[in-house]
Amino acid sequence: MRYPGVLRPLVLIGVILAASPAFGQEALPASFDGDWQGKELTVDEGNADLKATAEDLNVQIVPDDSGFWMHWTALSRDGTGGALARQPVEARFEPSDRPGVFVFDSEQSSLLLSLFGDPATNNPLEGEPLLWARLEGDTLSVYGLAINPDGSFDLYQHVRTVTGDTMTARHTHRTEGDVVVLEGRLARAGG
Amino acid sequence: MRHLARVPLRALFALGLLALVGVADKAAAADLDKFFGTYVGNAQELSDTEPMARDMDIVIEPYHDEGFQIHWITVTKVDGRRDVPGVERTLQSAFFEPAEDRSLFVEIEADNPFREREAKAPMSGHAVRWASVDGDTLHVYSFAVLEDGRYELQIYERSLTDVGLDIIFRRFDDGELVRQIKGSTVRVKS
Repeated sequence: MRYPGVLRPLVLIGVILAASPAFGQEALPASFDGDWQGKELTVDEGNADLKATAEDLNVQIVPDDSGFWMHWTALSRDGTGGALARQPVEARFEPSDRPGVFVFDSEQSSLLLSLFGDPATNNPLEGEPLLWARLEGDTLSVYGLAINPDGSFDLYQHVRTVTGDTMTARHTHRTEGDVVVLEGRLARAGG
Repeated sequence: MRHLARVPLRALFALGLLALVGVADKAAAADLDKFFGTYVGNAQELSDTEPMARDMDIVIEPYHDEGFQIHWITVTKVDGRRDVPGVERTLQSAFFEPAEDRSLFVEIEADNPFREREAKAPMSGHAVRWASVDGDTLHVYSFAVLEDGRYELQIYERSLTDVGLDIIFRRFDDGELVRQIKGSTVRVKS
Protein backbone atom coordinates (compact mmCIF):
# COMPACT_ATOMS: atom_id res chain seq x y z
CA MET A 1 0.00 0.00 0.00
CA ARG A 2 1.28 3.49 -0.85
CA TYR A 3 0.66 6.62 1.18
CA PRO A 4 1.26 10.23 0.14
CA GLY A 5 4.22 11.84 1.92
CA VAL A 6 2.10 13.66 4.50
CA LEU A 7 0.04 10.62 5.41
CA ARG A 8 2.90 8.22 5.96
CA PRO A 9 4.13 9.70 9.26
CA LEU A 10 0.55 9.92 10.54
CA VAL A 11 -0.06 6.29 9.71
CA LEU A 12 3.17 5.33 11.43
CA ILE A 13 2.22 7.28 14.54
CA GLY A 14 -1.15 5.57 14.54
CA VAL A 15 0.41 2.14 14.25
CA ILE A 16 2.83 2.88 17.08
CA LEU A 17 0.07 4.19 19.33
CA ALA A 18 -2.20 1.25 18.61
CA ALA A 19 0.60 -1.20 19.34
CA SER A 20 1.51 0.44 22.63
CA PRO A 21 0.10 -1.20 25.76
CA ALA A 22 -0.73 2.25 27.03
CA PHE A 23 -2.99 3.07 24.12
CA GLY A 24 -6.51 3.59 25.39
CA GLN A 25 -5.33 2.89 28.92
CA GLU A 26 -4.60 5.24 31.73
CA ALA A 27 -2.42 4.60 34.75
CA LEU A 28 -3.41 5.89 38.16
CA PRO A 29 -1.74 9.30 38.73
CA ALA A 30 1.12 9.25 41.20
CA SER A 31 -0.75 11.83 43.27
CA PHE A 32 -2.82 8.94 44.72
CA ASP A 33 0.19 6.92 45.85
CA GLY A 34 0.89 6.77 49.52
CA ASP A 35 -0.27 5.86 52.98
CA TRP A 36 -3.31 7.97 53.73
CA GLN A 37 -4.43 8.44 57.33
CA GLY A 38 -7.94 9.51 58.31
CA LYS A 39 -7.93 12.81 60.18
CA GLU A 40 -11.57 13.80 60.40
CA LEU A 41 -14.88 11.97 60.08
CA THR A 42 -17.54 14.40 58.91
CA VAL A 43 -20.43 12.03 58.08
CA ASP A 44 -21.48 8.76 59.74
CA GLU A 45 -24.97 7.80 58.58
CA GLY A 46 -26.96 4.59 58.69
CA ASN A 47 -24.55 2.84 60.98
CA ALA A 48 -25.89 1.84 64.39
CA ASP A 49 -23.62 -1.12 64.99
CA LEU A 50 -20.27 0.43 65.80
CA LYS A 51 -18.66 3.78 66.42
CA ALA A 52 -16.89 4.72 63.23
CA THR A 53 -13.72 6.77 63.45
CA ALA A 54 -11.57 8.72 61.03
CA GLU A 55 -9.18 5.76 60.96
CA ASP A 56 -11.89 3.75 59.20
CA LEU A 57 -11.11 5.87 56.14
CA ASN A 58 -7.43 4.87 56.06
CA VAL A 59 -6.19 3.68 52.70
CA GLN A 60 -2.84 2.67 51.23
CA ILE A 61 -2.32 2.93 47.48
CA VAL A 62 0.79 1.40 45.93
CA PRO A 63 1.67 1.43 42.22
CA ASP A 64 2.42 -1.95 40.69
CA ASP A 65 3.53 -1.97 37.06
CA SER A 66 0.65 -0.51 35.09
CA GLY A 67 -1.83 -1.12 37.89
CA PHE A 68 -2.02 -0.46 41.61
CA TRP A 69 -2.68 -2.17 44.90
CA MET A 70 -5.12 -0.74 47.36
CA HIS A 71 -5.45 -1.65 51.04
CA TRP A 72 -8.33 -0.31 53.07
CA THR A 73 -10.92 -1.10 55.74
CA ALA A 74 -14.48 -1.99 54.89
CA LEU A 75 -17.51 -1.99 57.15
CA SER A 76 -19.36 -5.12 56.15
CA ARG A 77 -21.80 -7.66 57.46
CA ASP A 78 -21.26 -11.39 57.40
CA GLY A 79 -23.29 -13.59 55.08
CA THR A 80 -26.15 -13.78 57.57
CA GLY A 81 -26.68 -10.03 57.63
CA GLY A 82 -25.30 -9.55 61.14
CA ALA A 83 -23.82 -6.43 62.64
CA LEU A 84 -21.38 -4.24 60.75
CA ALA A 85 -17.77 -5.11 61.44
CA ARG A 86 -14.39 -3.78 60.32
CA GLN A 87 -12.56 -5.92 57.83
CA PRO A 88 -9.20 -5.33 56.15
CA VAL A 89 -9.37 -5.38 52.38
CA GLU A 90 -6.79 -5.44 49.64
CA ALA A 91 -7.10 -5.75 45.90
CA ARG A 92 -5.05 -5.11 42.79
CA PHE A 93 -6.49 -3.23 39.83
CA GLU A 94 -5.13 -2.79 36.35
CA PRO A 95 -6.17 -0.54 33.46
CA SER A 96 -8.82 -1.87 31.12
CA ASP A 97 -9.24 -0.95 27.47
CA ARG A 98 -11.78 1.68 28.56
CA PRO A 99 -10.20 5.02 29.45
CA GLY A 100 -10.31 5.62 33.20
CA VAL A 101 -11.70 2.16 34.04
CA PHE A 102 -9.64 -0.35 36.03
CA VAL A 103 -10.50 -4.01 36.42
CA PHE A 104 -9.87 -6.24 39.40
CA ASP A 105 -6.78 -8.38 38.84
CA SER A 106 -8.03 -11.84 39.72
CA GLU A 107 -4.93 -13.63 38.46
CA GLN A 108 -2.91 -12.35 41.39
CA SER A 109 -5.15 -14.37 43.63
CA SER A 110 -5.67 -17.49 41.61
CA LEU A 111 -4.01 -19.82 44.10
CA LEU A 112 -6.71 -19.74 46.75
CA LEU A 113 -9.61 -18.35 44.80
CA SER A 114 -9.40 -21.33 42.49
CA LEU A 115 -10.71 -23.40 45.36
CA PHE A 116 -14.00 -21.67 44.81
CA GLY A 117 -14.17 -21.95 41.07
CA ASP A 118 -12.82 -19.99 38.15
CA PRO A 119 -11.92 -16.56 39.52
CA ALA A 120 -11.44 -15.08 36.09
CA THR A 121 -15.08 -14.50 35.33
CA ASN A 122 -15.56 -11.63 37.79
CA ASN A 123 -19.23 -12.47 37.40
CA PRO A 124 -21.57 -11.95 40.36
CA LEU A 125 -24.19 -14.19 38.78
CA GLU A 126 -21.80 -17.05 39.39
CA GLY A 127 -21.39 -16.18 43.04
CA GLU A 128 -18.21 -14.18 42.59
CA PRO A 129 -17.67 -10.57 43.55
CA LEU A 130 -17.49 -7.93 40.87
CA LEU A 131 -14.79 -5.36 41.63
CA TRP A 132 -13.66 -2.45 39.49
CA ALA A 133 -12.42 1.13 39.74
CA ARG A 134 -12.96 4.36 37.85
CA LEU A 135 -10.74 7.41 37.56
CA GLU A 136 -12.21 10.78 36.68
CA GLY A 137 -9.89 13.74 37.07
CA ASP A 138 -8.60 13.74 40.64
CA THR A 139 -11.27 11.31 41.83
CA LEU A 140 -10.86 7.55 42.13
CA SER A 141 -13.94 5.42 42.77
CA VAL A 142 -13.67 1.77 43.75
CA TYR A 143 -16.78 -0.38 43.43
CA GLY A 144 -17.77 -3.83 44.65
CA LEU A 145 -20.95 -5.79 44.00
CA ALA A 146 -21.85 -9.12 45.54
CA ILE A 147 -25.05 -11.07 44.98
CA ASN A 148 -25.77 -13.12 48.07
CA PRO A 149 -27.17 -16.67 47.99
CA ASP A 150 -30.65 -15.38 48.87
CA GLY A 151 -30.64 -12.87 46.00
CA SER A 152 -29.96 -9.81 48.14
CA PHE A 153 -26.98 -7.67 47.20
CA ASP A 154 -24.19 -5.63 48.76
CA LEU A 155 -22.91 -2.71 46.75
CA TYR A 156 -19.83 -0.77 47.81
CA GLN A 157 -18.71 2.56 46.40
CA HIS A 158 -15.61 4.22 47.81
CA VAL A 159 -14.90 7.62 46.28
CA ARG A 160 -11.60 9.36 46.98
CA THR A 161 -10.46 12.77 45.71
CA VAL A 162 -6.88 13.96 46.09
CA THR A 163 -5.74 17.57 46.34
CA GLY A 164 -2.02 17.78 47.11
CA ASP A 165 -1.45 15.97 50.40
CA THR A 166 -5.14 15.92 51.31
CA MET A 167 -7.72 13.32 50.35
CA THR A 168 -11.47 13.44 50.85
CA ALA A 169 -13.31 10.15 51.00
CA ARG A 170 -16.92 9.03 50.81
CA HIS A 171 -17.63 5.35 51.54
CA THR A 172 -21.09 4.04 50.69
CA HIS A 173 -22.40 0.55 51.43
CA ARG A 174 -25.82 0.05 49.87
CA THR A 175 -28.20 -2.85 50.27
CA GLU A 176 -31.76 -2.96 49.08
CA GLY A 177 -33.06 -1.60 52.34
CA ASP A 178 -30.43 0.72 53.71
CA VAL A 179 -27.32 2.77 53.09
CA VAL A 180 -24.31 3.31 55.31
CA VAL A 181 -22.25 6.41 54.50
CA LEU A 182 -18.93 7.53 55.93
CA GLU A 183 -17.25 10.73 54.83
CA GLY A 184 -14.12 12.45 55.93
CA ARG A 185 -10.69 13.85 55.29
CA LEU A 186 -7.33 12.13 55.15
CA ALA A 187 -3.73 13.30 55.01
CA ARG A 188 -0.77 11.61 53.40
CA ALA A 189 1.51 10.08 56.04
CA GLY A 190 4.80 11.97 56.00
CA GLY A 191 3.24 14.61 53.78
CA MET B 1 6.05 -4.83 49.04
CA ARG B 2 3.89 -6.85 51.37
CA HIS B 3 0.83 -8.19 49.65
CA LEU B 4 -0.66 -10.26 52.41
CA ALA B 5 0.12 -13.41 50.45
CA ARG B 6 -1.12 -11.54 47.34
CA VAL B 7 -4.54 -13.00 47.90
CA PRO B 8 -7.54 -10.74 47.94
CA LEU B 9 -9.62 -13.74 48.96
CA ARG B 10 -9.41 -12.59 52.54
CA ALA B 11 -10.48 -9.20 51.40
CA LEU B 12 -13.38 -10.60 49.50
CA PHE B 13 -14.56 -12.57 52.48
CA ALA B 14 -14.13 -9.45 54.49
CA LEU B 15 -16.30 -7.46 52.16
CA GLY B 16 -18.91 -10.12 52.40
CA LEU B 17 -18.41 -10.33 48.68
CA LEU B 18 -17.64 -13.99 48.32
CA ALA B 19 -20.99 -15.67 48.08
CA LEU B 20 -21.49 -18.71 50.20
CA VAL B 21 -22.46 -21.79 48.29
CA GLY B 22 -24.28 -24.90 49.27
CA VAL B 23 -26.49 -23.22 51.81
CA ALA B 24 -29.51 -22.66 49.69
CA ASP B 25 -31.94 -24.87 47.91
CA LYS B 26 -34.49 -24.52 45.21
CA ALA B 27 -37.26 -23.46 47.49
CA ALA B 28 -37.39 -20.25 45.53
CA ALA B 29 -38.76 -22.10 42.54
CA ALA B 30 -41.68 -23.46 44.54
CA ASP B 31 -42.57 -19.97 45.74
CA LEU B 32 -43.13 -18.74 42.22
CA ASP B 33 -46.52 -20.26 41.52
CA LYS B 34 -48.46 -17.59 43.36
CA PHE B 35 -47.09 -14.89 41.03
CA PHE B 36 -48.12 -16.58 37.79
CA GLY B 37 -50.86 -14.66 36.05
CA THR B 38 -51.81 -11.64 33.98
CA TYR B 39 -52.14 -8.21 35.52
CA VAL B 40 -53.32 -4.83 34.28
CA GLY B 41 -53.04 -1.49 36.00
CA ASN B 42 -51.35 1.84 36.03
CA ALA B 43 -48.37 3.60 37.47
CA GLN B 44 -46.75 6.97 37.82
CA GLU B 45 -43.30 8.36 38.21
CA LEU B 46 -42.86 10.62 41.19
CA SER B 47 -42.12 13.47 38.81
CA ASP B 48 -45.23 12.85 36.68
CA THR B 49 -47.59 15.79 36.58
CA GLU B 50 -50.56 13.60 35.72
CA PRO B 51 -51.66 10.91 38.18
CA MET B 52 -51.63 7.41 36.71
CA ALA B 53 -49.73 8.59 33.67
CA ARG B 54 -48.85 5.08 32.54
CA ASP B 55 -50.84 1.99 31.74
CA MET B 56 -49.21 -1.29 32.51
CA ASP B 57 -49.72 -4.93 31.54
CA ILE B 58 -47.70 -7.67 33.21
CA VAL B 59 -47.63 -11.37 32.38
CA ILE B 60 -45.70 -13.80 34.59
CA GLU B 61 -45.52 -17.39 33.41
CA PRO B 62 -43.47 -20.54 34.03
CA TYR B 63 -40.36 -21.02 31.93
CA HIS B 64 -38.87 -24.46 31.51
CA ASP B 65 -39.19 -26.63 34.61
CA GLU B 66 -38.44 -24.29 37.46
CA GLY B 67 -37.92 -20.87 35.95
CA PHE B 68 -40.19 -18.03 34.99
CA GLN B 69 -40.66 -15.48 32.28
CA ILE B 70 -42.01 -12.01 32.71
CA HIS B 71 -43.32 -9.67 30.04
CA TRP B 72 -44.45 -6.16 30.73
CA ILE B 73 -45.93 -3.49 28.54
CA THR B 74 -45.86 0.14 29.56
CA VAL B 75 -47.91 2.79 27.77
CA THR B 76 -46.86 6.31 28.70
CA LYS B 77 -49.88 8.52 28.13
CA VAL B 78 -50.16 12.14 27.06
CA ASP B 79 -52.33 14.33 29.27
CA GLY B 80 -53.89 11.18 30.64
CA ARG B 81 -54.85 9.91 27.19
CA ARG B 82 -53.56 7.02 25.13
CA ASP B 83 -55.23 7.91 21.87
CA VAL B 84 -53.26 11.00 20.93
CA PRO B 85 -49.89 11.50 19.21
CA GLY B 86 -46.87 11.22 21.48
CA VAL B 87 -48.01 8.14 23.36
CA GLU B 88 -45.17 5.67 23.88
CA ARG B 89 -45.47 1.92 24.23
CA THR B 90 -42.62 -0.35 25.34
CA LEU B 91 -42.57 -4.11 25.63
CA GLN B 92 -39.92 -5.78 27.75
CA SER B 93 -39.33 -9.44 28.46
CA ALA B 94 -36.97 -11.41 30.65
CA PHE B 95 -36.42 -15.11 31.27
CA PHE B 96 -35.02 -16.59 34.47
CA GLU B 97 -33.98 -19.98 35.73
CA PRO B 98 -32.91 -21.07 39.24
CA ALA B 99 -29.23 -20.65 40.12
CA GLU B 100 -27.56 -23.80 41.28
CA ASP B 101 -27.26 -24.10 45.07
CA ARG B 102 -28.66 -20.63 45.68
CA SER B 103 -32.14 -19.26 46.35
CA LEU B 104 -32.19 -16.91 43.41
CA PHE B 105 -32.85 -16.88 39.70
CA VAL B 106 -30.50 -15.69 37.00
CA GLU B 107 -31.50 -14.30 33.65
CA ILE B 108 -31.00 -16.46 30.61
CA GLU B 109 -31.53 -15.74 26.98
CA ALA B 110 -34.80 -16.79 25.45
CA ASP B 111 -34.65 -20.11 23.65
CA ASN B 112 -32.96 -19.68 20.31
CA PRO B 113 -31.79 -22.80 18.49
CA PHE B 114 -29.57 -20.70 16.24
CA ARG B 115 -27.46 -19.11 18.97
CA GLU B 116 -25.31 -20.50 21.70
CA ARG B 117 -25.84 -19.10 25.15
CA GLU B 118 -23.34 -16.37 25.91
CA ALA B 119 -21.79 -15.99 29.34
CA LYS B 120 -22.37 -12.60 30.93
CA ALA B 121 -19.28 -10.40 31.12
CA PRO B 122 -20.16 -7.39 33.29
CA MET B 123 -16.90 -5.57 32.53
CA SER B 124 -17.62 -5.87 28.82
CA GLY B 125 -20.87 -4.00 29.11
CA HIS B 126 -23.28 -6.89 29.68
CA ALA B 127 -26.01 -6.16 32.19
CA VAL B 128 -26.43 -8.85 34.82
CA ARG B 129 -29.97 -9.59 35.89
CA TRP B 130 -31.24 -11.77 38.67
CA ALA B 131 -34.41 -12.29 40.71
CA SER B 132 -35.49 -13.55 44.09
CA VAL B 133 -38.66 -14.20 46.03
CA ASP B 134 -39.06 -12.74 49.51
CA GLY B 135 -42.44 -13.69 50.94
CA ASP B 136 -45.05 -12.12 48.69
CA THR B 137 -42.59 -9.95 46.79
CA LEU B 138 -40.81 -10.83 43.57
CA HIS B 139 -37.59 -8.85 43.21
CA VAL B 140 -35.93 -8.40 39.83
CA TYR B 141 -32.56 -6.65 39.58
CA SER B 142 -30.55 -5.35 36.66
CA PHE B 143 -26.99 -4.14 37.13
CA ALA B 144 -24.67 -2.74 34.48
CA VAL B 145 -21.20 -1.21 34.48
CA LEU B 146 -21.38 1.60 31.97
CA GLU B 147 -18.73 2.48 29.40
CA ASP B 148 -17.19 5.16 31.63
CA GLY B 149 -17.13 2.91 34.71
CA ARG B 150 -20.19 4.31 36.45
CA TYR B 151 -22.96 1.85 37.24
CA GLU B 152 -26.69 1.63 36.71
CA LEU B 153 -28.83 -0.42 39.09
CA GLN B 154 -32.51 -1.08 38.46
CA ILE B 155 -34.74 -2.69 41.08
CA TYR B 156 -38.26 -3.94 40.39
CA GLU B 157 -40.41 -5.01 43.32
CA ARG B 158 -43.71 -6.69 42.53
CA SER B 159 -45.73 -7.48 45.65
CA LEU B 160 -48.88 -9.57 45.76
CA THR B 161 -52.00 -7.88 47.09
CA ASP B 162 -55.54 -9.17 47.58
CA VAL B 163 -56.39 -8.16 44.03
CA GLY B 164 -53.15 -8.15 42.07
CA LEU B 165 -49.62 -6.78 42.21
CA ASP B 166 -48.21 -3.53 43.54
CA ILE B 167 -45.13 -2.31 41.71
CA ILE B 168 -42.17 -0.22 42.77
CA PHE B 169 -39.37 0.55 40.32
CA ARG B 170 -36.18 2.36 41.26
CA ARG B 171 -33.17 3.26 39.16
CA PHE B 172 -29.84 4.33 40.62
CA ASP B 173 -27.13 5.98 38.52
CA ASP B 174 -23.79 5.63 40.26
CA GLY B 175 -25.45 5.67 43.68
CA GLU B 176 -27.99 8.39 43.00
CA LEU B 177 -31.69 7.57 42.89
CA VAL B 178 -32.75 9.10 39.57
CA ARG B 179 -36.10 7.47 38.94
CA GLN B 180 -38.88 5.98 41.01
CA ILE B 181 -42.18 4.64 39.70
CA LYS B 182 -45.04 3.24 41.74
CA GLY B 183 -48.10 1.46 40.51
CA SER B 184 -50.84 -1.04 41.22
CA THR B 185 -52.49 -3.75 39.15
CA VAL B 186 -55.32 -6.24 39.34
CA ARG B 187 -55.16 -9.85 38.28
CA VAL B 188 -57.25 -10.63 35.20
CA LYS B 189 -58.20 -13.73 33.32
CA SER B 190 -56.06 -14.21 30.26
